[in-house]
Amino acid sequence: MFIGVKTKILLTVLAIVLLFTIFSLVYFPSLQGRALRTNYQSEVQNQAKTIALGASIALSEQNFKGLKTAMDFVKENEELRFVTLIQKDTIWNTDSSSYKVEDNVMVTFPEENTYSSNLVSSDSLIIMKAPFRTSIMDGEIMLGVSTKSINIRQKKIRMTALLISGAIFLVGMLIGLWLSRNISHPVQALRKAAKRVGEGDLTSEVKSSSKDEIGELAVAFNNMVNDIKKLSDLTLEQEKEKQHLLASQNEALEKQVEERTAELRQSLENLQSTQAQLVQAEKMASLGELTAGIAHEIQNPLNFVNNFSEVNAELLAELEEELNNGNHEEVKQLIQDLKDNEIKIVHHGKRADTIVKNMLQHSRTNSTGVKEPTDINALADEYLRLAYHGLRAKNKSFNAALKTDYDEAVGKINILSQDIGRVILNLLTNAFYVVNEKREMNIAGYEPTVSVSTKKKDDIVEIRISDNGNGIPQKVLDKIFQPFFTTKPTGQGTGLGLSLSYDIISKGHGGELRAETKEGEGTTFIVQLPYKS
Amino acid sequence: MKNFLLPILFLLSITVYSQNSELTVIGNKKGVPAQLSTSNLKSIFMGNQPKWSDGSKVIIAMMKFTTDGGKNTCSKLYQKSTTDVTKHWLTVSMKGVIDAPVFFNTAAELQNFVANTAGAIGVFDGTVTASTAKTVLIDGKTSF
Repeated sequence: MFIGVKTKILLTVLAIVLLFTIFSLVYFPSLQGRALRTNYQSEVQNQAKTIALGASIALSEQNFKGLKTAMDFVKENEELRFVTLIQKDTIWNTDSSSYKVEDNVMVTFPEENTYSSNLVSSDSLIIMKAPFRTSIMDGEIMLGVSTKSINIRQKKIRMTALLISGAIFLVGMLIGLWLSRNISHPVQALRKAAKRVGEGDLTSEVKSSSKDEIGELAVAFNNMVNDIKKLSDLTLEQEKEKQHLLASQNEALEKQVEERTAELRQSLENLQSTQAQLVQAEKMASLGELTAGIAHEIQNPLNFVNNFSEVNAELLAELEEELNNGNHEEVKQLIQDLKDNEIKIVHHGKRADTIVKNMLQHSRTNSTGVKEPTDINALADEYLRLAYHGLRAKNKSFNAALKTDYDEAVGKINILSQDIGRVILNLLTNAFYVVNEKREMNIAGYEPTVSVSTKKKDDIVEIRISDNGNGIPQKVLDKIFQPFFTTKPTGQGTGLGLSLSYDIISKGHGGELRAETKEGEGTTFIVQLPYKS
Repeated sequence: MKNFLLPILFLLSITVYSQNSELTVIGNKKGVPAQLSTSNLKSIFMGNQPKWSDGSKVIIAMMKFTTDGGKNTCSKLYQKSTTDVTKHWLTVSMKGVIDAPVFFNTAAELQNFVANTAGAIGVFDGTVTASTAKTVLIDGKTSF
């Protein structure tokens, strides 16, 4: 809760004024009343003593002047209620062994009433006793005085106290208001000015004519604001200079950036060009791998075409001879053979045509980018053979066992067949490379084996290409999918095969390509392709 | 022995005589009546009459009770002990109706006072010497 300076000052002054008021209204009258009563009691006591002395002189010297004077004096007191003379009688018992003192009221003034000697003071009556002792008698004077005058004086005191309290309260509150005005107003002005300064208005100035600490504070505040303004102006000027400098530097920097950007763009273009060339080189490398295999593949149908063509030529010669001989049955048999051979020639010719088309498709720089339903098992098998025969064409001594396990449930899947074929070819080429590498180590009982298998797993197709080579060390395994990383000798690998394969599977088909290996035992590359890519 | 007894007996007889000597009442010429009855006198000396018939204040004069005259006054006039009379006047003084008596050590002083104080009346044992005071007859007698 926010309590302002003005309120605090007023509350403080009010508290002080209230304290004074309570003191002057309650404590002071009470104190005065007690003092008044005490003084009055003392006065009455003195009067009683004076009377007692007068009585004592009267009894002992038969001089009643003093008693009369004292009585006359006491009687002048309007508050006097009674004066009683009490005789103290000593009463002995019958055998004079003990005694008691009895009070015997001899006379009371005024005589209308009699008062017991046991009477004590009350709020309305003050009782004072003064003893005396003479040879004639022992006694005491009991004086009863009304407290009416005291009460009236106490009332006057209370009234006076009330008036004084009211005056104190009024004066105190006026002082409080004056103080709060003289203190809180300058403070509030300072607060407002400080707030304006905080909001950025450095023209704020506090006007204070007081010659006290608050006035000095106002002057100090104004000086401070002036200093801040000067400093602010200086800072703004410096800031402008900095902005100007920064702008010129930015301009220079932008020029540099533009120049560097142009250089970088050029570098990027060069890089992209180089990358395209590298990709093309990789394609050409794989094409090179294929060429031998394709040549071998084409050789077989060509051999068939040639052989059956030669056979047909011989059969035509025989047919001509049999026609001349009129041997129709033989002619018919020869024609049938010719037809069969022609079918085989056409079959092998088409096969060669397919191989050539595939080769052309593989060597094409830009694919159509349209995925088509493709028989994964056929694709895998075709590239297995191409890869194997390609390697065999280059290295006649190479031989390896090929194991296949195709899951017929796989069926067709929408893929870019030439891209997936390139991946399979790349993985198989690597597999053949490593088993050949291990074979050349002449390990006893080692039989190079490359396996290709497919399997349908829920909504994906899994292609596993395994070899029984030396496996891949862990530190190499972490880098095999990095571009330009290769363990092959210089000139034998671009280092882009697995990197491009990874991109084709993951980015091109939303699949996954990973390797599982065990050093000394072999490696399995697993390609997972989703049906809905 | 006889030489001692006779003076002692003489002194005792003088004392008895003095205590039993008659009292004389004198009064100031102003206010005090020329004669009074015994009862009137006792009433006045008891303080029952504050003023004389002419309105002047009654002022009582007596010998101190420590003197023979005082004691004689107590026994003859008041028929009370000096203590009782003193107490009586103490109570009267307290009431303030009448002034307490003025006590004197000698009859001459008393007579002089009465002679010079208007309304004063005194009682003493002895002869009247003051010419300005008058002897108040008590029951027609100059002494009692």
